[in-house]
Amino acid sequence: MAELSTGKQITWCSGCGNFGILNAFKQSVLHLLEEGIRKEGIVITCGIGCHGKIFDYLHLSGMYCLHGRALVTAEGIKLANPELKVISFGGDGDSLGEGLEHTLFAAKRNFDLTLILHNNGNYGLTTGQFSPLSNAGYKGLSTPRGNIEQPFNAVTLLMEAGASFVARGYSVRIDHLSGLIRQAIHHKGFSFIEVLQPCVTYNNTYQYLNQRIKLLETVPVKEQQARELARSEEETYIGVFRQTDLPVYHDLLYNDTNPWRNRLNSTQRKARGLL
Amino acid sequence: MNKHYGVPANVSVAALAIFCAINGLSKELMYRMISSEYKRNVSENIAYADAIYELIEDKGDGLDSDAVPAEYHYLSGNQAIVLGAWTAGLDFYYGYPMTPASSLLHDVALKQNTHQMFGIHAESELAAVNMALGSALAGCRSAVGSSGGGFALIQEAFSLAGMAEIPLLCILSSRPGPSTGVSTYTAQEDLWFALNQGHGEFSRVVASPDQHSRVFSLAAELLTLAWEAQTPTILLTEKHLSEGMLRLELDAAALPEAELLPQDTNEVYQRYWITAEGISPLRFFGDAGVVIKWSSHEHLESGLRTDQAEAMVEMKDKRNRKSRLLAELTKRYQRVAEYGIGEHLVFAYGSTVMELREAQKHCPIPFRIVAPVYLEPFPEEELEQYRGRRAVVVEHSSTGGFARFLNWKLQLEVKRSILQYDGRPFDPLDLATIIQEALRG
Repeated sequence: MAELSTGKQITWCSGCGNFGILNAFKQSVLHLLEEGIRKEGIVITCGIGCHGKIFDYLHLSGMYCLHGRALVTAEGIKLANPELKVISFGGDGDSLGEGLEHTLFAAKRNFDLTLILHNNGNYGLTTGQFSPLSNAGYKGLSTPRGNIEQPFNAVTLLMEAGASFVARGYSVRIDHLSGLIRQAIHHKGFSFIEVLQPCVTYNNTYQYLNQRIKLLETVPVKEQQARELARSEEETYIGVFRQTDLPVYHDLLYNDTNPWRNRLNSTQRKARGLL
Repeated sequence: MNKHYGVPANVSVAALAIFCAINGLSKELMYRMISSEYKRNVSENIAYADAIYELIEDKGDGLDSDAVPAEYHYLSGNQAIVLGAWTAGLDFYYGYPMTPASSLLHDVALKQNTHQMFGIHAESELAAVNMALGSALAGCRSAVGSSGGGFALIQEAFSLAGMAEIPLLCILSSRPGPSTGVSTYTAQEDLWFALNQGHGEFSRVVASPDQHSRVFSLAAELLTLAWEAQTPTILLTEKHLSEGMLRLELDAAALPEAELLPQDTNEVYQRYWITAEGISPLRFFGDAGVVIKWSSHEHLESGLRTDQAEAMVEMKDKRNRKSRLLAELTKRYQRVAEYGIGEHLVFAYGSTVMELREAQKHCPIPFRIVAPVYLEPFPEEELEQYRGRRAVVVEHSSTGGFARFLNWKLQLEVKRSILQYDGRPFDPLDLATIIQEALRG
């Protein structure tokens, strides 16, 4: 694991769910490296929020992007060089608030990327305001009388938007989560993992989730069933809700070209002529 | 024309015939255009156009189609931008439709197969510009463009490009504002918007082409400067030039190339290695043996985030050193254009210069047009001779932003600020009269 660390001091709260995500991700990357994927071929992007700090803890190439724009930046990277494995980290405010349109469009396009959504149900970095995934009634600094909105369901939302791989994990179940991340990265197409991540300071859901978590043994065959399981009020299912093969954006755009590898430099362009 | 065409004259066919005749396009091409664009009365339309074409030809007003050399191209300003940027190395253009910048996207999309260049219609300008930055991180040259409203959304990531030191060419094609404004007309209300684009302090380049042929070279220069200084650049233009078409002679061989990058001599790669010029070597995702960390936060040389006082100052100073570098780098190019001679000075920038040059032909008092092409960094050396002088300033603005700019930079004494803000170009004869009065007064 050491080769994946930058050595930067970690400033998440003690007990933060982000530790589980960091460890699960490192495990997955080590597996990928063992499988022969080059470390330089893995690129990460993140937004702004508690989740984003993961960028500075991972000794991997990438970009610490603007709030909400990590996924769309990842799209630009992937289009320029489709050989790269591009993984984007997002918070619930980041990916489903400020960056909602980008998340839905990346799924709609079935862009060959992975989005790991750190769902802690609030804006932890900016001191606990309600997020697009906070439950109704959630009390934060901007909603002192309780959240009057209903939350999105991230899994069904992304299924509807067109993501071809949709899963949910729990930051406490590190091995399970690491397996999901590996599957997601191997999946050709848009892969989405909602990670339930307790926030010890503003939204401590450890007890609640520990009691409710249930493992999905297999991918539901029917969409309707997948949706019902994702929305279940009694249990919180983790596992893969959808896994399907669909054409991906860059293949449809330019087949097997690689714009970076095949790019003509200016001198070559001049030799070819303008029209 | 009734003998050729029994129904009331079709004005658009007539306009096409006049255009073809004046510009020396062949009759055969004109026939093809009519056949493909007009579904009804094709033979009548062709006969009608034919007669108009011959009238112009007989008068000797048109160009001989055989005499037009091959290196001449009929291009809109936007098409010339695309060709200039492509020659210098552009790979990706990301956009979202907004007149008068939309045709940049259309033109790049059309060229995918012929030029290996990709035009991507994103979900918003916010998406477009962040995608463009992403592609640059993987080594491809990218650009975005819009009009004022879309550019307001680009602004967020423009600032990111300044902080993270990502090369980016932006095209801002103005129309009357504020807000949605008037979609299909021209204006120059965005000068200060371009100069002050993006929150926070960082170096950038803003330049505005004074004629169609300059668009081609300027797009290449601005892409090259963006990659040399690893900072965003803006090609500021207007509807009038973006969508107006002219016959242009294009010399691709003379264009600069956005290719030469500083070599990395460090043992361990650091994205933000502090250097005397402020430029750190660029490596791209996928390059063997390097970890490349870009950041929107203030950062250390390694790219890791920082809020330490000393590190903040060092990194800001590093970025600010690029202003000096850009002032030098832009000297390779024509930063100021002048037309005519004489003691009387008339200042303009952008496509207004084209209108002014028409007016110049009709004004009995000779005057010199001074047109800064580069606005930031300001071409001090070339313009020093005009410091404190009296001059007329012409622009498409209701508040005289360019006159204010010149007064600030050169302490120019603005004798008369000639403004037009109805979205239309100046009538050259009217403008000549107004300038004549101003110069006499």
